[in-house]
Amino acid sequence: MASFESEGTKIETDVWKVLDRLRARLQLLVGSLTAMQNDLANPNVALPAWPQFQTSMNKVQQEINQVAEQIKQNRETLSNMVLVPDPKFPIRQQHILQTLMRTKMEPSVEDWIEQNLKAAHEKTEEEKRDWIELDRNPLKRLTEDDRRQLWPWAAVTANIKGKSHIWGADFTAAEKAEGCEKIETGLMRPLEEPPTPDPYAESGLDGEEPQQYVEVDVEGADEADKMDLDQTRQSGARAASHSTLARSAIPMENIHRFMTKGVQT
Amino acid sequence: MHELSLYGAVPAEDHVQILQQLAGVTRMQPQHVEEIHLVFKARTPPGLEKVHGSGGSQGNQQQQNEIQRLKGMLQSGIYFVQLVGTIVASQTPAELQNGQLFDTERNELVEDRTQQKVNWRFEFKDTPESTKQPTNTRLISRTRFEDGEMIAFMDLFGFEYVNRYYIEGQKFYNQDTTIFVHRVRQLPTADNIRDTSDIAKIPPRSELQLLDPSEGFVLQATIDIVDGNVQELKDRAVRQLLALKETLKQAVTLAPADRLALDTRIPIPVRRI
Repeated sequence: MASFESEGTKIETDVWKVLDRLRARLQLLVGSLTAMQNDLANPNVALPAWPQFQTSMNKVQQEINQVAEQIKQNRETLSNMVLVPDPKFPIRQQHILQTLMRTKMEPSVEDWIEQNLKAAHEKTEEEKRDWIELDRNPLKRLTEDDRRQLWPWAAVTANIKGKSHIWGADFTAAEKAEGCEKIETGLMRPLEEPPTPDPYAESGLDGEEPQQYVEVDVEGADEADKMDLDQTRQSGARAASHSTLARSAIPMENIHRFMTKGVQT
Repeated sequence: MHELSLYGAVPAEDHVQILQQLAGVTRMQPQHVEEIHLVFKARTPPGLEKVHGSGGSQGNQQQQNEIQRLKGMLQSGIYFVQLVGTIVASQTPAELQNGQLFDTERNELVEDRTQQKVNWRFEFKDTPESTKQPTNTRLISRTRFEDGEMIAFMDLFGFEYVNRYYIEGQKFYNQDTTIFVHRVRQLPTADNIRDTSDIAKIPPRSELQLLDPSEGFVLQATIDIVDGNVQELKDRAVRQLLALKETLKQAVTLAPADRLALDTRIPIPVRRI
């Protein structure tokens, strides 16, 4: 591009600006690409960690996008531009001149573009086919993975749905509306929760205990439920230690001291 | 023998839940355990406090060393020791499963002391090692006592009776680890010192006052190593305990206990002349 400058022709200032900005962007891009190449190609240094690699990859992609954006914005200016070689251009750098003077893509680049366009086209076609197939038979494409994802989702959703209803009644709303006197559910008496037993007497753990349902903590479950979860200490050790503190129990050191020395200190 | 331990606090209201979780982790039912602990303290050799402290600037180096050596010799045996009695059913009636004290029909503990006997053992535990380790490591020694006058024997042996207490809890076993969830109840002083080790004279458990009024439990995870000098065994035990700690992370926080709280040495009163 130095040739433009030395030529001294009247390039309008805004065109100048466009070219300058583009050059700055391209330089940034080249810098990033070189850095990435150094990271990957140097056999003496270990490969970068993947988050780091991804960051530099993102950076490169961002810069490519910016370059593309600039080219697109100034498409008219750039495509109208004509490159005239300057006689003062150093002959030793003839190959650079040849590259600069090219009006067509290099053959390798041309192949590369064609290949990618074709691949993109095929991909779109394939996806289109897939969607049609899926429309026809939705269960067909439920793979093992999908199913594994589906079940946790189903449990959570069922829970949320369930919470939005008022439970605890013996009959459904429909049954009540029709009159529930004649319905036989097998329940002869109102259900009562079993009284909370003495924790120590319960230590038998003979499997007759009512199954304890594990609540699923979901976003969207209301605040009251979250409080309940905290109180049942689903949140684990933190809450457990907290409640010990709250009840001003003897610190474990003192228990140990008593167990070692036989006297309370 | 060496003992490696981690401790955690279990609030009373979490106790049943923790037991269930432990039963799941260890894939076994809890084993009920009742123990009586008699605490003894070694008699201080007479005149020990008269030995000069090594603080003085006068006296030559050799004399200082001599005093140090003498003190070390005299102090070396001065520890708290315990007689631990494990209460088990004396015979195994049909309703008592596996010699446990748990009556499955009535779903409660058998409290009939006449049906119980005690297996005594003498237990010495050293103060945990002072090195920085992720577990409490200490030298221990257990000797079975078959029969006889415990208190009198210990007295002649040079140990003075201090106090006694009662431990109730559940044990689980997981690989090499013993998980013991327990709490301490205080035992009243026996009318006659000879009755101290007699379980027939112990009031029923419900009348024994808990040491911790919040009714909380202590969870102790222990691995005993027969030869604690083998570094490989020690490392393996530490790894196993830390793995257990990670497993139980959500339920209870396991950590090494305060070393000085487990200190079994008897403080020597220092008299300055």
